Amino acid sequence: MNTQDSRVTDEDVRKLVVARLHSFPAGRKISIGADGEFTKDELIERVEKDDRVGKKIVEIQLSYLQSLKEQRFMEE
Amino acid sequence: MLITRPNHDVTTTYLFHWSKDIIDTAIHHKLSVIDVTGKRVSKKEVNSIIKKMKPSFVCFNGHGNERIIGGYDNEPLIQKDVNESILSGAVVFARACRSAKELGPSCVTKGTTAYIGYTDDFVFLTEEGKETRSLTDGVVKIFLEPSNYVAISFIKGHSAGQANQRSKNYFKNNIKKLMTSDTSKEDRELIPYLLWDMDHQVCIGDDKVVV
Repeated sequence: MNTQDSRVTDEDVRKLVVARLHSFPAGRKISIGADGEFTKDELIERVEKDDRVGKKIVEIQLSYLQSLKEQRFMEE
Repeated sequence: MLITRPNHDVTTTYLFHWSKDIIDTAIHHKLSVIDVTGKRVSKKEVNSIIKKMKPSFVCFNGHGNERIIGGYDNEPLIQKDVNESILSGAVVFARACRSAKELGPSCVTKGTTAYIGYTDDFVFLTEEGKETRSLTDGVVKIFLEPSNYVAISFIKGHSAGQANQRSKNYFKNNIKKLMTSDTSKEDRELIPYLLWDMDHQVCIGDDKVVV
């Protein structure tokens, strides 16, 4: 019997997003409204801290992954 | 048309410079433009111009939230349940985070004919070191040109629904270009953020109205 818990936790999701952010281009910044501008390292730090900016980046990345799952741009 | 262009931080300075394209297009199409910039983007000045001149099209650039469109130093220019009725009869494009979530619908309830804006944060990527030469930033161009296309489409005579859709098509085309195999891995990382802006840009109110 498999007793291992297969649920994906928020921590797992943050780790996934941090892994994706390692591909964020060096030499670029992201502007998130009045929160300011952030480099790759700052984004990773915010996701790990799970603050407002970190949560927003997680939301953006999950929304993108969902669009891939739905193959939104494949049908055209 | 009235356009607001505060420039008190890096983000608003990018919008300040990139909105010049909207102004140039309006002038080319013989539209009269009231361009309110820098520290002049205050509640007193902007509200006074709207009340006196009654512009048919108002284009806001600035920070915002669910209930507010901000001006210089984020002073609230238009606020839900405070003064949104001054936009009655106007078409609005608000390039300000999240304002289409609550303020936009409230504006339309109180007489704004159509409101195009963003229901969540408007995000964009920039190239480091281009802050003082933002018009040479090829990365920000991929975000701000599609967004500008809302205002440019209005100026060219398209309806609110068409302006919103044409802008979304511009976002979509930029995304598709970045999905091709000859795009670098780095540039493909722009896609999630473009998709986010495209998905959160909405048109509220009469989508048939023209400026």
